[in-house]
Amino acid sequence: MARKKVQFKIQAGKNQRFLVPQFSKKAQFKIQEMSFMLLAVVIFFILALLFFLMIKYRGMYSEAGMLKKEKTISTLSNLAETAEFSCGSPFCIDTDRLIVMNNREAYDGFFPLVSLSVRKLGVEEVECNENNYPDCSFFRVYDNAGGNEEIVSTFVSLCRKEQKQGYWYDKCELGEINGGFERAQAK
Amino acid sequence: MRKKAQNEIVGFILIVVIVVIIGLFLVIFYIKQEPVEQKSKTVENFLQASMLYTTDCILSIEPINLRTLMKKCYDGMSCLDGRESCGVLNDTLTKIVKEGWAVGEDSPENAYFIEIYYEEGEDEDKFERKMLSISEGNCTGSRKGAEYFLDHSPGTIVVEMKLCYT
Repeated sequence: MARKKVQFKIQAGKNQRFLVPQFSKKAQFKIQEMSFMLLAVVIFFILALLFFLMIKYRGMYSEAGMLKKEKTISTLSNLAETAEFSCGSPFCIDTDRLIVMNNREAYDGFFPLVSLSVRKLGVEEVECNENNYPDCSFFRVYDNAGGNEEIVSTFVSLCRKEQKQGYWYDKCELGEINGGFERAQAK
Repeated sequence: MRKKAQNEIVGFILIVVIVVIIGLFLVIFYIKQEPVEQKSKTVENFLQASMLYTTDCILSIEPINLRTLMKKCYDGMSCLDGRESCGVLNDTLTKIVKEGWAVGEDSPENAYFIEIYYEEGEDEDKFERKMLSISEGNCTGSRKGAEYFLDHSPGTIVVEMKLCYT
């Protein structure tokens, strides 16, 4: 009986219906080698892509920052055209009005800025008051900055009425308007 | 060496060469890209604000502003003191740019270029006359700029300003 069982096992091994595929060791090694190569190529391309995206995104962030700044400059330009400052032309501030606005606490919070000042360009900085005007160059409208502000500037024309040989005319110089914005803090 | 091993090495070298060529192509393409010129609100505001600047050129009674001086330069007129209006325009514009921008190797803005020209008509009938050109520094890095259009019937005086910055 025992002899018969062994015979049956040997017969089952030879049975063509239960053939197990046989790979040679060399072919297995080849497949493994190819898969490693493919993996290395894919990793290389992923790294190259990541590097490219990193450079591209860094440029995008700086561009976004620049656009944000340009938007703020537009706000500041509009501010220069308000009735309190404008001389009647675009990008023009009437310094005769500006000297009246000097250190006006009533305007705290009226404009969406923490500080506002106007500076004449190309001359030494001398703060303006009613005694030294127009021989000065810096007009401080108000300053409520608590040290955490970002100042944005844009060019404006600073005009005032001046008399020459009995005639009054508009004397305009180049200046800049500086607006301080509260810097956003990460929580 | 066996022929099979030689084939393997040749294949590997071929892949490396292809990858290097693609890499070089991408690097050259990235470097050769023309610097993008952006429209700048600051430069635009500078040009706008400069136009009202009172020059030292007097035509009749009072000193004229830069906007009027440009028109007089195109018309070929002189100031009361005998100076050519285009000469005064050149000096005044150079002075204003120096006041407004710290152009130099040590500052972010390393060069500027201003061109003023008159244009009239469109397409084939277009007439253009160069009036003035001012520049300073060697342009490196990115560029930003703006234009200002001044009506001078029947045409337009165009002021173009470009700034190079790093």
